[in-house]
Amino acid sequence: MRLSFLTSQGIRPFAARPFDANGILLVDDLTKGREPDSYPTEADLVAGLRACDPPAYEETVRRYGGRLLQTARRLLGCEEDARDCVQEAFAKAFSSVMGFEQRASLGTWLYRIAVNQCLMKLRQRRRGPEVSLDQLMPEFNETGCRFEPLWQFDQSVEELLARDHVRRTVREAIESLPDTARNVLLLRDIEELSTDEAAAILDISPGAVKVRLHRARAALKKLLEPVLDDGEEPAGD
Amino acid sequence: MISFRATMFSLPGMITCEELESFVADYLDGRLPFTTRLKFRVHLLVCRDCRSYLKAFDRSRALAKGALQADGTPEVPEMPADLVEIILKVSGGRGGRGPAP
Repeated sequence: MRLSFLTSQGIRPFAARPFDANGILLVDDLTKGREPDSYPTEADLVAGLRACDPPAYEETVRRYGGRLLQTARRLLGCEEDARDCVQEAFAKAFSSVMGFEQRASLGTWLYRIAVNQCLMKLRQRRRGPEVSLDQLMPEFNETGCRFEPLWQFDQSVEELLARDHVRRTVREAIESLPDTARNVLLLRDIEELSTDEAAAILDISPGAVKVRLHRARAALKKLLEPVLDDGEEPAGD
Repeated sequence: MISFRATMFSLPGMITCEELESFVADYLDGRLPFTTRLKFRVHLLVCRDCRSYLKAFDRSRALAKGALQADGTPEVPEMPADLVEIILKVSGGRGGRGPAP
């Protein structure tokens, strides 16, 4: 009997799958002799995952893991946490692949899972108290006029970023924002997702993303004022 | 006493700094309607406080982006072999190679 395997491209012969004399699938043999091009399309890979093909798991990790790790490193700034999140993201994805409806690509689906793991990790590892956004908003007088210091910047952003304490201050400032503001800021300004993409990941409306983003950016500007100008590390006590 | 700025911003076609603030996000996204964008730009021409504010606002965004993106690599990294191994071991029960004996 010649078995077949249904993919989005049609029916692919599947006779090569090894069975023993009793018709039991020889799982160990599946890990041998399979090349990465065993899954030329994403649909093939998803089908492989759903069929619990071990090479499909490995191919998924190798194909998409690098980007997820890159994102986790950016969002978390800690190699150990980044690796944990990527590991947890794949575990979560593999356990729920049957529910993957393929409305988005496999890469996008995995990316969303990994980003959510990272945001959860940030929430768990919050080091200090979160700041109050209301206290960091721009202030206006009763006639709606703003009073702002007249900023003159002598150094480029690149020069400031070359200093460890500036980079540390920036990360600490972002992590001190309330979760709702920080998450939107990370997805829109760091991951450079669109408003709609950020809204989908955070499960909020695009309008809410826009409002939260502006408040987060305004609060961050206020928090970073000490390093916007000269970037000198404050003298210790 | 009403300041000169407040008087100027109350003229027809002008907006206040506070109103400008509410348009900043859409302005940066290039989503402001033409007439609002015009008012936004006219306000910036005459208001050095808002010009300074936006200058610092842009700089803080650039710092945030630069600082966090520096922790990633510009190119997608290859997955470390040991991490691949760990993930496949953990997923052993769902088709992976299973935990090491």
